[in-house]
Amino acid sequence: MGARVRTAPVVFVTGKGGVGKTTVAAALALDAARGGGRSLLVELRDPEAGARALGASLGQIEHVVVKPGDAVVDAVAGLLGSRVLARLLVRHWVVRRLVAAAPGVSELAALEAIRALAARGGFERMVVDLPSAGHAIGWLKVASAVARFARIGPFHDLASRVDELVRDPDRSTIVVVALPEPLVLGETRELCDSLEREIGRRPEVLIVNRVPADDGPATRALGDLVAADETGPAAHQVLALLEARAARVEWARAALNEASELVASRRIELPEGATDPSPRELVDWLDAAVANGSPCPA
Amino acid sequence: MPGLTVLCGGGGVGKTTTAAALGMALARAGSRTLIVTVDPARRLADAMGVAVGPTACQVSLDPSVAGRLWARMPDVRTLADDFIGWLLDDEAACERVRANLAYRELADAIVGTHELLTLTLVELDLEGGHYDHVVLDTAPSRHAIEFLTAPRRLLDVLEMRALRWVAALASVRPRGSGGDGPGAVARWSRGRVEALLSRVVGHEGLVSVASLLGEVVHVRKRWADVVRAAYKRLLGGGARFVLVGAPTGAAIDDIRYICALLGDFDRRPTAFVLNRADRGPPPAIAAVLDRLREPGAPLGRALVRLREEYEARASVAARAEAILSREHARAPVLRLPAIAAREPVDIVRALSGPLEELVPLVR
Repeated sequence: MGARVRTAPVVFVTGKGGVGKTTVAAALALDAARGGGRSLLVELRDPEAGARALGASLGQIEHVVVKPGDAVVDAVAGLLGSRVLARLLVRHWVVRRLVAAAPGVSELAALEAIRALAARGGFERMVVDLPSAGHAIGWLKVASAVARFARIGPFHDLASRVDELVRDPDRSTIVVVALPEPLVLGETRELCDSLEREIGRRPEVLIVNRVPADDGPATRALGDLVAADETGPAAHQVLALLEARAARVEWARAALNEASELVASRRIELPEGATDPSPRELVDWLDAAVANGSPCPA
Repeated sequence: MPGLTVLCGGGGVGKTTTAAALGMALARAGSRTLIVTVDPARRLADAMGVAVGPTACQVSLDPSVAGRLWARMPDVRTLADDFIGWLLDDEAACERVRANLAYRELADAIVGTHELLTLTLVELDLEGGHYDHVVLDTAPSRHAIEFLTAPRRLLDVLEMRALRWVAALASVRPRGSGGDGPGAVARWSRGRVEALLSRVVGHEGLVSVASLLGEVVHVRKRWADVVRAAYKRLLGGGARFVLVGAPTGAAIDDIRYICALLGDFDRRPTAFVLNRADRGPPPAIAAVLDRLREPGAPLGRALVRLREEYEARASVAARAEAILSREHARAPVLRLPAIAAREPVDIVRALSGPLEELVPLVR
């Protein structure tokens, strides 16, 4: 296979809702598998989204769903050195309620499960499909907040270990997915800025999905026909549609130009298809974009 | 009795735009309407064309809604501080809570706080009597579960016995300082759990959580009452759930996921809104294509692509409509067209017309 996207061993994928985050995460996992390595897709909460997106390609990668409840017991077991004690504690009638009411606990435990998997080694790439933008910040900063809250002791150490993984660009790559629309890119900018504020780093890779093809020549050609009055009243209506589209393309280009400094290292643009692309199509596009040296500022 | 309409759906389907347009339709029909967004995304401000902040501000999108439409976008830090102010009348207690380590470090870091506090705030807004209707725009689907279960989970902690138990931890001594007290079995078991917790969280953390909850023991009823009211309002039959989708496979999966979730709470969707769900390409495209002398030229190719886009969206939308109508015969499916406008405010205005159809269903 051709060029592949270069990443650290753990890849966190996020972005505003509806930008195609899960498909990109699945595609990145598939990309590593195609290169011949062992590749793992980690899903949280919604166990089926990535598997559904992968469909028949699911067999090429390994797939794990981190369940919050199990992750909490595992993390506590690591702290207490005993699964029996951990279960006893987590199932205690008050502790159970506290853990359920303070869901930050299960986010941290899920990240600890990911860290432990990564520490065990064996995977060339582990792709984590994080929740969408606003919630992803919560996920990525929960470890540092907890480390400050529990200033010493095993809980502090656990949170610090997770925080190190989240902060270290040699161990984890943050990929942010966006669309070429001013609103989406605006929110993506906020996400990148708050990541820099909260965990001291910007995402390394920006993947811009659904970049529309430039219909400028077509729009001008139709404009000429309309001016020459050759195609009747329907042409006016279609010209309005094409003009709206051309405006969208122009608007997308302008938004993308402004987004050039959003991420730390590179930007990859993927084309717009008529329907939802599968991760398999997306990997081909990714490889093509990387091979063509898709716009890569600096 | 004021009404509550909750909009749910996956990301990027136009939930906030739909919330704004539905709010506009309600206001036009005479209801004093407040639109609240829980989505941490910033779309509401753009959709409203004004700076929307944590407190309710009036929106004048159009003369037809003048004086009847408000919007509010609570941010979690302000929410938490306001909430503490409301909960604890005593200024000294507020100060103690704001200085508390657990509160300071965790209140806005913990995922889920936002939903819970917004829900409480919506309840207070509705009880305040300033509005006839609140339209609540929620976070994308995967978080719907947190949103629906948040009040229940909090009520479990606010239950008197549990709260007292935690609050008493404030008196836990650091490990090794000796003196576990009388040896009754209950005391012993309690002591074990405390010791384990202390090993996990650390003594300081444990004490800060315990004293935080200790502050609220005596206002427990006040807090629990509003949470219970919010829970009842959300799931007790008063709220209307409008599920928003778009013609993509993922968006329809999201809708079905939320329907199943609502079913677990014995709730049913009131209506479905499908955005960008035109019924097919405008006939004008085919008319122009037929007359082209060189269909292979850029113009022909662009028109074919445009037509394919419309067709792809129409067929996914038709399939979605069929599935949703079959599975939920009583909830109508409203298909809205794609609006080729640049300004979000113009899209909101354009969609508020067709959304008037939902007003009698949610009011």
